[in-house]
Amino acid sequence: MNTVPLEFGLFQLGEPPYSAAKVSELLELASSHEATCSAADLTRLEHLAGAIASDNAGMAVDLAGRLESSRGDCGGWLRAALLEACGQFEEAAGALRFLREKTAGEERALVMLASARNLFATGRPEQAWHPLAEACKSSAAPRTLRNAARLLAQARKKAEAPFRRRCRIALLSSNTMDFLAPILRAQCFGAGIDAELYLGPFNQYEQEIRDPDAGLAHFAPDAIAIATDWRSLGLRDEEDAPGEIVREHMGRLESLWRESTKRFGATVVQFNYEAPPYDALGQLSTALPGGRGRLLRAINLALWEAAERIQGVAILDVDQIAARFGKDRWNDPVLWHTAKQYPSAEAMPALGHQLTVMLRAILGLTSKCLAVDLDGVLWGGVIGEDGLAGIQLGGGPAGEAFVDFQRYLQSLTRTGALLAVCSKNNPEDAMLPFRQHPEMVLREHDIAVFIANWKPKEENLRAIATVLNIGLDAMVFVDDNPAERSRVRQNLPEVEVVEMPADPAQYVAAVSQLGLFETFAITGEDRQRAASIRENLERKTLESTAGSVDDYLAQLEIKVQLAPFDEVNLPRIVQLINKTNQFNLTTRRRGDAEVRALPAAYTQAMRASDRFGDSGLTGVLIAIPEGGGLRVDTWLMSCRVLGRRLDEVMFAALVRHAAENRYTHITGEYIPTAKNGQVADLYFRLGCVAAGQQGESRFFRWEAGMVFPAPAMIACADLTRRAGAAV
Amino acid sequence: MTLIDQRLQQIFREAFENDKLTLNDSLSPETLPAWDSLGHVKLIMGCEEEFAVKFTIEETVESNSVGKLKAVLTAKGVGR
Repeated sequence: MNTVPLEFGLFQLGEPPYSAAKVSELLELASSHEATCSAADLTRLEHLAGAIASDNAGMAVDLAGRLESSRGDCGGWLRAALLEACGQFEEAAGALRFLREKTAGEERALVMLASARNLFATGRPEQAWHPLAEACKSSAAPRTLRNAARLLAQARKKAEAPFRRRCRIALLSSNTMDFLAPILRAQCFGAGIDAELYLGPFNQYEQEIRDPDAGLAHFAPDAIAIATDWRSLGLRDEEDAPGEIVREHMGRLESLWRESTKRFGATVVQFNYEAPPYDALGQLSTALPGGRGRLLRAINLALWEAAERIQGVAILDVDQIAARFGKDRWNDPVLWHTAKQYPSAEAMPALGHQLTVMLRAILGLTSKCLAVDLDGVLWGGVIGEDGLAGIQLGGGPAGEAFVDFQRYLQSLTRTGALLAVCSKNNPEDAMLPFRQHPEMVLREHDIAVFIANWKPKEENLRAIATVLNIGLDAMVFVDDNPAERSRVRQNLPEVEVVEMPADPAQYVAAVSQLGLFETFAITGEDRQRAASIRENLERKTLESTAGSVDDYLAQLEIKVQLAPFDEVNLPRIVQLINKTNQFNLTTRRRGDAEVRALPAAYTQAMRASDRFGDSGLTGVLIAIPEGGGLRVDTWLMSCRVLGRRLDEVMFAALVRHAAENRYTHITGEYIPTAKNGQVADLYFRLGCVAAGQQGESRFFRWEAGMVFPAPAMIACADLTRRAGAAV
Repeated sequence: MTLIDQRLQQIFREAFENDKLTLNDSLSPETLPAWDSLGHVKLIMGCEEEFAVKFTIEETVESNSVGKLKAVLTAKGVGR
């Protein structure tokens, strides 16, 4: 093994063209550096390959041939780069396949990007999307992200890219957005979002929102990012009437927000203001009531308060993003003066990442379950060998780091995330600390699904997803063992695998910085979810002891409340509209503003509880008057309450409403998706008749006047009968 | 082609989104339509990231041809 750094070796070698002796030296150098390829080394070798090939293609091919036996990463990478530089993509594909999987950071990004490029070049686009997405997720380098965005744009012309969600995003700004745009596009792709971007003209965000003829109106945005920066406020070092300035500015912004949600039905992402690192008044800038630093903080606080009042607005905490990145590096005065670019080039990926995290939350793509390993993750050591007294947990620096991580995980469950255990252990060993260790923060009731056995983890992760009724793409996997992580990555590419650092003190940061569990708003249901899942498991036990389904339902003592949409339940309704997949007849995704904008509709928000607990708001129905009848535009139920005849309760109330309000009929609609097959024949089961098809939609009809009996064993309070309380 | 030229050519290709572009000292905003003010900033950003250097305002403004850009990079010690 060579101990000379590759960089130094290449420097000594000098520049091509190379003599035969120099070529041998290069071969020696490349094959002696097995596993020490940093991102910089990879880039260096790529350039070298380009230079060799442009001087002497024959030599490049010859060199590639001689590297074939090299099994190290440097050799393999150089070989692939040489072959690509000579246009031999198929051969390069072979070399790339032999590279060891890079697990994190820029190395992973570069290798993934090269693989994706090669797979597109060799006509295998369907295999290329995954490595391209991985490159986008792993990189924080502007250049790599720009290159990924470019490859994405080129590839999309030839093949259809897989996306979880489309989103038309308008970036309205007081500074240049042109450089952020490709980075954001790449990061969104990494998060499964097909981001179509609209860049408003420089510093005209007000005109854009207010002018009906502006480009924004034609673009029809789903989300509007108002990216204002502190300079655009034009504040003096010290202001005489700070309160007035806050009021005036907030008035202006709030009216822009309302306009945005009302006219475009778009969700607003408002950037808050960085308190700049340099100020003539120094510390006084915040100490003085009228100081700029103080004023910017007051405005930021007012932004959050206003966003609480106005639905459909989220605040992006730019000040915090800048602080975390380091404000000295965040600001680049040269770029500001030459290009009105803010923040600095190197900071753009950090800003884009947080914006992507927020969009992901707005679009309902928040991950749902975190599956954790036990030994080395929740405590140090191995419970099966070291025993209860032998594991590290609390009582010392190393043990405290694990306690800290457990606290973080427990806090996550309060925002609606579900925790699962996925461990290779004997079940009784695995459970022991949860039951008996005094320093354990997590207890059995915090864990939604507990799997400890000796099966492969990919099998257990699949089982967890099935039990929780969620997709694999909503799962996140945490394991300290790189071999397990790699195995899961290989077998379940949809699952998000967190690259865990060796030091448990860094665990919280490693999971937290990915922003996978960030939500747009926390609803009461989110806070209750873990408890509710547990109750469900108890219900399942009852199910196996009761006789018929109806007996079982009767024993459950189900109580249902149906209410029209209102301010209180709207956030949860919007959340369900945007994430429910299985019992969802039309899968129409709508933001807060769009739901509000629905024409005089009959709406049902269904809450269910039983003797085991409260499932909360778990059903949504929207019916729109049309041609003398009611058309069911949206109907969905959370998978937590399926199989309990609650669909019949909701339908019975709809039928009664139609009869009482003299509608002639009800039109049901079903739009098939990959996930909602279980409700394909729902309307038939309810007694509707087929009423034709249009595009994807299949229609069904219910004649008013026919009676639909509600299930007798379910008590229902129908508040929608006192109609008119809609939002 | 020297290694520096190779690296610079790659930066040009990425900044102006043209994989066929070949580098020569006479390239300038006059001869390359894509080299507008936006393209220029992309170019400078690309150089800063690739060569781990920082351009001053003056250097940013005066680097308006391949020849001048290389001179600035050389003065910064790129290529030693």
